[in-house]
Amino acid sequence: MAALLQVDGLTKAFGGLVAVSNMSLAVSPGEVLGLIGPNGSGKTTLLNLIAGTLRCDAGTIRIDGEDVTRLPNHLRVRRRINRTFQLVRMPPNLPAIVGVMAGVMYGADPKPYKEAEYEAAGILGELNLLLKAGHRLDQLTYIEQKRVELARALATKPRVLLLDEWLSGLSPGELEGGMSVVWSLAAQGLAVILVEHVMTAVRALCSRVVVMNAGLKIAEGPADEVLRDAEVIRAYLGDDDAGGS
Amino acid sequence: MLEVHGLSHAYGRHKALDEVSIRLRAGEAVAILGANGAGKTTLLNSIAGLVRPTAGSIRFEGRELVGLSPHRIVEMGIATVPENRRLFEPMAVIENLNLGAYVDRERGGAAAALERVFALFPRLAERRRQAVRTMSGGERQMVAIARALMAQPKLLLLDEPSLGLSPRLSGELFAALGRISHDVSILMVEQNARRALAMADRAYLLALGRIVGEGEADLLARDSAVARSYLGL
Repeated sequence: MAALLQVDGLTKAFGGLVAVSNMSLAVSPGEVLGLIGPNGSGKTTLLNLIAGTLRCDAGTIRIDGEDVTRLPNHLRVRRRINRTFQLVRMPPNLPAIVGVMAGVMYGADPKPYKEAEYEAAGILGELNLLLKAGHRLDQLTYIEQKRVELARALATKPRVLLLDEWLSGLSPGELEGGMSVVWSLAAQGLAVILVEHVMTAVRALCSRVVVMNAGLKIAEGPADEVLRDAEVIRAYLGDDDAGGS
Repeated sequence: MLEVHGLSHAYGRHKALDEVSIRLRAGEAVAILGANGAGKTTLLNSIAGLVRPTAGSIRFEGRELVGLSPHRIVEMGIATVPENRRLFEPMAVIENLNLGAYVDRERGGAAAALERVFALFPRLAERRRQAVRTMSGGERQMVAIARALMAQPKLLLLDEPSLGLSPRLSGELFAALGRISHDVSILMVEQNARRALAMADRAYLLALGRIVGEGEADLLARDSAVARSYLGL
């Protein structure tokens, strides 16, 4: 299938530090692309560039053939690309559903207040959070907050979804539930980029994996091949964890 | 060294902790395992004085902690690495670390403490002047742990220390914790149960606010019921 998201030669420097250097990747509808690499290797910066949270210094970002490189964040959301943050970015004292409603009202297919409320409730329901819809965000557990964060992103109706460590910090049972959520989003045809350190999830969900180190792509290919690569093991997995966690 | 007895805490009608009792001897590393929402963070926060339990007692070296303010508890030798790190984001690494040493007991010892944490996390020494908000999630986690160690605690409370760390860094983190565990007692909450059990002496299993199991870490690691629920086999 033709790529839905096509990124070419993306580069971003902070002062003298080149955080992302000449990165290219492509994701197709229904595909989960794994993006892994050591802490500080530029993964989140790359997501920020794709989502429009940061502007790139060079390179292009296309969604469905349309060049969105110069579009600000909110217009990219309307071109159906959105992301989750590692830590939930919503006012802690607001009911969970309000954050999700904001996603509906300012997303790619905006709805007025009442319909937005109805739709937000539906999205929360699909994520098993309907009973928590009226709870303040700071009264929810970590895993519930992570799900609200996903609900907010989904509310904008993305076709390209960027998940920044959305599966981290889960117990094995919770991880299974989280993985099946990602799986079903891909099955619905979303193109997903998964930034994750949980190798169980990367192996199970990702057909392809891109590995970054110091802003550069150091490997790309099928998950099981890439995770056996000597350079990837040295830079990222460490010696005793090539198989585990 | 630490004795928690009959600790309960409720958020509204929701019982986060229901008569929890745990013990930790000096020099021990103890892990608390359980799903999200089991009450693990509430337990750590109660010990740190960040939440006030509705019932029960927490004794540290024989002194009652319930009712003391968090800074008094730090001065008594208990330092916390909270779940969301809670760093001073615009400030440099070195400034965050120095604030960790802002305890009466340790004034004067800060230079030596700094040397020790830099030996433990060499990356922080390289980046000492960098603003924390420009660092990656994993690097910030190192700063949070290093800041807690700057208080030279007798007991270190760790809430999900490996969260957001690469497999390699989380291996290095647990190796580092193994090295410091000779000098400081550790009570940690951690989702990476395999690594936590490999490092800890003992562990408690927490579910829905109650202790549902405890034992030697290496025995728990080999227990098939524990393996299914907590190790994901």
